[in-house]
Amino acid sequence: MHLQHRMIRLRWLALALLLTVTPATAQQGELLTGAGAHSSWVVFDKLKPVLEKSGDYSLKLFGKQSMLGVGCNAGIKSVMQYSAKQETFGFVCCKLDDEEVRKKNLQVFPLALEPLMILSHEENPVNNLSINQIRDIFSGKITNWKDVGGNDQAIVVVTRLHCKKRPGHWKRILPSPDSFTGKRINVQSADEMVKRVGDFKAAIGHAGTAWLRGDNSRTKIITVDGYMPTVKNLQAGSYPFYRELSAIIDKNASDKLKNLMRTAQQEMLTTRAFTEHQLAPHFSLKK
Amino acid sequence: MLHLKTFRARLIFYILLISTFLSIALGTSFWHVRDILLEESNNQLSRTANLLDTYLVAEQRELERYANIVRDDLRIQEYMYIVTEIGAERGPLDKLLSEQFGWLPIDNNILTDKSGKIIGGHKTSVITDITQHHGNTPGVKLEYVNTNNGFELVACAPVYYLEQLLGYIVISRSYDTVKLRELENISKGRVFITLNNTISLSTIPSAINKSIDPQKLVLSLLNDSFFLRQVNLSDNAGQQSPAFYFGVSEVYLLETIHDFSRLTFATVVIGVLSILLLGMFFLRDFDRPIKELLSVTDAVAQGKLPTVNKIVPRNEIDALSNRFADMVQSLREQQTLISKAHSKLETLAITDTLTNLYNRRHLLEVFPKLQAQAQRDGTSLAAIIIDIDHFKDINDEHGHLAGDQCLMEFSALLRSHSRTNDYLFRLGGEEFLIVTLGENVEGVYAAAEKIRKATEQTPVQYGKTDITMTISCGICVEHPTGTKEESLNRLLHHSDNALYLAKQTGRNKVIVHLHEDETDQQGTA
Repeated sequence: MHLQHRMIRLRWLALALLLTVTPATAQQGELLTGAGAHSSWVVFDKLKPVLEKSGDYSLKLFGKQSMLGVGCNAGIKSVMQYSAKQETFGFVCCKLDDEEVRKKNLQVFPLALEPLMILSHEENPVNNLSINQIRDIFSGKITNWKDVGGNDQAIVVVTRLHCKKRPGHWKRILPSPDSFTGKRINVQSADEMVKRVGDFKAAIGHAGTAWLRGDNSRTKIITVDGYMPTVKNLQAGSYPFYRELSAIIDKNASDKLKNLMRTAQQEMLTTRAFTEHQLAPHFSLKK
Repeated sequence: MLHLKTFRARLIFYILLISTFLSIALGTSFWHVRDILLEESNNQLSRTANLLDTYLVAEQRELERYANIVRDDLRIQEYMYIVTEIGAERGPLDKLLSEQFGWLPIDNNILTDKSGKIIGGHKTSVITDITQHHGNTPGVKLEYVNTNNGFELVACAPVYYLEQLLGYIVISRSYDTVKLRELENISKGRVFITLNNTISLSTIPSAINKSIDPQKLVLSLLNDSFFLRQVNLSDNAGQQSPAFYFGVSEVYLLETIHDFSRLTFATVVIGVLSILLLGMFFLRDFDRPIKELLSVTDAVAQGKLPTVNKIVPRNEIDALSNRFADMVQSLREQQTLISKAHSKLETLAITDTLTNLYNRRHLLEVFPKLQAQAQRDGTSLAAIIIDIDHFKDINDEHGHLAGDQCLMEFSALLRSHSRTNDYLFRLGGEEFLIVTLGENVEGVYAAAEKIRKATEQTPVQYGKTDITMTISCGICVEHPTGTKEESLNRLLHHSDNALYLAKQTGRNKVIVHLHEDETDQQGTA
């Protein structure tokens, strides 16, 4: 366990170094730096040309590798480093609760909804599971694939239970870490998740659709009650697992930064460039 | 004390002395170095044993570190958890272990579950019960394990995930003959591994199962024996750990000493031979010219002047030899001058300076020879005494210079009318003598007469004056008897008597002395 903590500390250190070094190379007041969760980074990375064109600034974005960003906490950390000379903002992949927003003096700009994929090994004969079967598997009630029509193999549960105090995300599968089976492995990034599930034929895991698994991945997506994790199924209310992607800034940040966030929200609504990542505009979900 | 009188003897003595010193020095050096070699070998044995100890302990620490590296890898922990706790296949764990840690310089790596059952790894022949008595201590346990091929140094570390013991990582390094050779190459000696004081692993097959007495520390084999030092292994592993011994071959040591002795002996021989050879060359270069110089000086001392050729000088002796050559040449030139001067003096001593005819002194010297020859040949000796008539009147009338010229020209006339075996003398003043060998009286008389007539007919020109001279001659011919003085006196006396008679009877005539049974023969102009 101590090694995991050490790795996390190293990632924080790397991020802090990057954020510290960046302003020194930038033009005064013209560089805006964003960092945090990969999925939200994807939104800004896609919109970067449009956003930079809309204002008199350039964007420096960190979050391509989820390993580097360490998710939402890196986004919040980025905001905490905000100053007039060093304008920073953050990416989060969870809905922040009101108390955290108030305590950390944050302003949240919801961006998109991202379906959560249920992943298994590509050789696993099971292609579809019901929502209850998925919850039973992750909770440990079902421990063998044969119980859901698969091979007689013990199910290897791989989780990434980050942002434990924030609502949404994996909590739409099971509400708390304790609800998950104890016989599981918990990874630190989407990249590790895809590798672990790809390594073990009996593995099952979850990851946001914004994470592109790559052609060499030995994973496949399990449909939930027959639905794939697509924008369409999400917007139709047919697919149950998703998370909310947001950008966050210091509540007292400059108007320039706030305008940037609003522009991003607006572009997210009007742009259809996110089909590859299956990202839906934030307000498009049917209640 | 040695009495070395010659430089040659001294030189030989010095050469022998240097050779002896060289032999003694190298011999002493050999014995000294031999002792040092033996002592140093002993020290080296201990030092190398300590180095081996350090090396083996470092290998233990290295293996321990590798075990920790594998144990602390998060993915290894996760995969072991998946295999041991969830029951998934071990393939991904094997693959991960191979990909992630295949580079480690170890011979075996194994992953086991808590019960010791293998769940991953390679070369599983070294499975031991090490995991059984490792317990749950978090550290790495090291142990030497006996195998069919030798020993394995095994490092075993427990693997935890979520604070739960999953199993063990077991890695090992083989100690077989290959490894021993590696150690022997490093240590430049032999390494023996024993178990209970019995050799169980060695690169020398005959050493296997031989006992080693830890007190004696000597291993005797059929063809060799070894001085041993135990490698202390200050950080030994396991209760049944093997003992390591480092050994140096006694034969090797002795061969080293023998090699050194041979080298020393060869150096002595070559050194002494070189000194002797150089000394011989030096002696030859030194001795030969000295001998030549001595022979030259001996010859010079004996009055000889040998030819000494000059040479291109290469050293001081050559230069000295050349000086000798110069000196001998100079002596030769001086001797030539002296000989010439001597010859001149000799000539002057027997010659009349005015007429260049022999003087009376030479008559005394040459007469004994003539007498002896006449006696030997049985012939006679003849003497003609000639006196210029009225010579005093010439001096008085024309002066002494004119008289001298008359004497000189008469001498020339005598010389021109004499024969090869005639000896011509000026006895003094205007009196001359001719001594000849083996003539009869008639022949002598004819010769005298011929001279008389030539004198009378050949006037001497002195200035514008012709001076006509006549001579009177007295002849004696006889067989020499008695002593040389008697014979000469008698010959001169008789000739002189005949001359007197010629003077008394009118001059310008030749009178022959006749012995008692003869009458004096007279001839006139």
